[in-house]
Amino acid sequence: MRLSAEQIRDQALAVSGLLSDAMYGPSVRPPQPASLGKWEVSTGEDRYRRALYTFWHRTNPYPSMISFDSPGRNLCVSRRIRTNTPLQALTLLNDTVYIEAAYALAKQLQNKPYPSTKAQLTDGYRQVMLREPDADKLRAIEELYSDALAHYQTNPANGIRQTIAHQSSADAELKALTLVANVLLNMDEFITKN
Amino acid sequence: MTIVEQARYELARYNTRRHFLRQCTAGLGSMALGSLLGCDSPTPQATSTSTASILTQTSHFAPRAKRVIFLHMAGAPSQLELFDYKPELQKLNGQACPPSFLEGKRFAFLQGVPQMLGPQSTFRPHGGSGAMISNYFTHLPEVADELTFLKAMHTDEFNHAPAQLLMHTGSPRLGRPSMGAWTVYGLGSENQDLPGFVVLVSGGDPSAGKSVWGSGFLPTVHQGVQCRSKGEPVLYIDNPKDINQAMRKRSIDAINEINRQEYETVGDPEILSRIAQYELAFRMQASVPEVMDINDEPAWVHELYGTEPGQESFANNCLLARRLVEKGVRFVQLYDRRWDTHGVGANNGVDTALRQACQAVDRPIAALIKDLKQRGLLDETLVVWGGEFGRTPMMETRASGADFKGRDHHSEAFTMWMAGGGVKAGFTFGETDELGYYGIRDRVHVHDLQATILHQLGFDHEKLTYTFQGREFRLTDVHGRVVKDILA
Repeated sequence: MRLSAEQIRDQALAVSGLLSDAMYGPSVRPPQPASLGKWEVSTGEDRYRRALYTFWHRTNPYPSMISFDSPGRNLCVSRRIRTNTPLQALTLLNDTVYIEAAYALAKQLQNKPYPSTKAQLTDGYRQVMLREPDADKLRAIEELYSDALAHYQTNPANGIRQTIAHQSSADAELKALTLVANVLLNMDEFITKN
Repeated sequence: MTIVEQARYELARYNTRRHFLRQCTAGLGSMALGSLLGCDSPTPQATSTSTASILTQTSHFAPRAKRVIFLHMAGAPSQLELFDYKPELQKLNGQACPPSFLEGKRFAFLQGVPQMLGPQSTFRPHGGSGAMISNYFTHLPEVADELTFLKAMHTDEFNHAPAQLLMHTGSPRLGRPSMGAWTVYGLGSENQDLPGFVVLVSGGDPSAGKSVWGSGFLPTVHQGVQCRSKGEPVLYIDNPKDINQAMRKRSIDAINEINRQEYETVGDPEILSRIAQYELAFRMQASVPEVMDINDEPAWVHELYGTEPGQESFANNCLLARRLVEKGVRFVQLYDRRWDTHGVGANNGVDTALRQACQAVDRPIAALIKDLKQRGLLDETLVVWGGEFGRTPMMETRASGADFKGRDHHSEAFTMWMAGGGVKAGFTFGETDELGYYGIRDRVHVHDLQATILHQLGFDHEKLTYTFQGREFRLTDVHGRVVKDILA
């Protein structure tokens, strides 16, 4: 059973260490695409509050909640249908909150000392899934990491999409780890309760 | 359990989950069986089944239209200045409104005894059919002979949000699926790489918000996907900086590889569906910007529509609608918001403001119909135009006593038109009284319009249903009859 919309957000923030456990208070506004109109994004810890605290605009709701089948709050819904759509895929891949979570996770992995890349990536999976990875999955992750690392080392400038940072090897590593973390947060097993 | 018993068990489990798996093909279930029985693991083609192309039901009979383009003028254009010619109303211009029009009635804003307001535009007949169209439109008359006018439309609601919801979801309350959602639920989409139901907006979201293209209680895969001509065409379609297309593909391949292994362990068919969705998402990253990019159209097409590349504009959206239906999108809806001419200020009346609104949509609408026709698409594309209600023959008066030539909301009579998709060409159905207040002949309710649209798509509106909250629901709920007189 796929996790609910709110749980997916909270889970991603929790495993990446970003989730704020502040309670109560007025609703907050996590980042959403500018094309949705006026929306003053909350700063600091408020950016990473539980989904429960997201400001709800009934005629223009926070899109990732709706994509993941959160009811629109116009009607009482006794049971949510869990759907499976490409918009969900796009949201989980590209929404700012999930990229920030991936980046935070990557930074943690980069800052700890590991005996090997394998140990580093295993720890990444462990932090996300709270269990050890299967050998086959770990291999897929390792292959991804090495492809990504090679890419970022040989393509320091991604043209117009480049970030400002200096192109040191640590940055290539960080980008590759972020991509791996992005993948970990998109795994079916991450967003599904078995 | 033996492997055969396990397969039977999985099949039984699969069937009880059918309610949740309406978006998956039966093929996925048999694939699950296949792998349990030790057959070959799913081929790449099999796991790439895109939800968008999956039929949950086929149509009930042969359709006349394969697709719909619905042009919704949010705010409600005044039929009395556009299509419903009322010379008698001109004669009563400035006179007090007869009490019979006011007694026992509720209006959105009118107070006291308003004056009658004669038509602010001039009308003449056009085309071989002699359709009455006002001088606010200079291009639309060129395609007058393609149109069927419904002059005695009526609705139950006199305010924007409930009326829009009624028009698009069949109920004035929130929570029901929209017409487009019902359509893709019933028919799926012809294109595996694009959503089946696309929405294009100009002038701001309609009052009822995104619920008018929502999926209600239907699976969310059937919701309208809003594509934008300014900025990101679909939300989250752009990758973040540092992840280019190649790396995005690589990462999706990794996700799917891990998911495939998870499927081997756990056997949940939803995982296969998720794999397909990620692949579709990747294809959409290419296909959506491509279809939304109007820069590759020749100059004469831009000239025909009057486009403004790079901006949000109704003209762009009309061109995009043609491109989308060419690519097999099933239901395209355009919302244009600028029609609510109450006359609350100098530039808000049915004189200047409405004329300007018409200028913004006149050329693109005519262009769309001509373009569809010359490409041979009009026959099988049902084009629908209209607002959510009409406007009153009386001039709006508000407490301020302002004297600008506006009209209030009017549910009893308004005009819509349809073209293509098997409706008669150059035809008028329905008539209002001499002042344009009530329909007096061949009235068509919003539900009747919905029944007719579904009919042209090949559905008996009473049979396209979904079980929710313990009963069968349908777009027209317990109402609606097909308007056979307008069908060719």
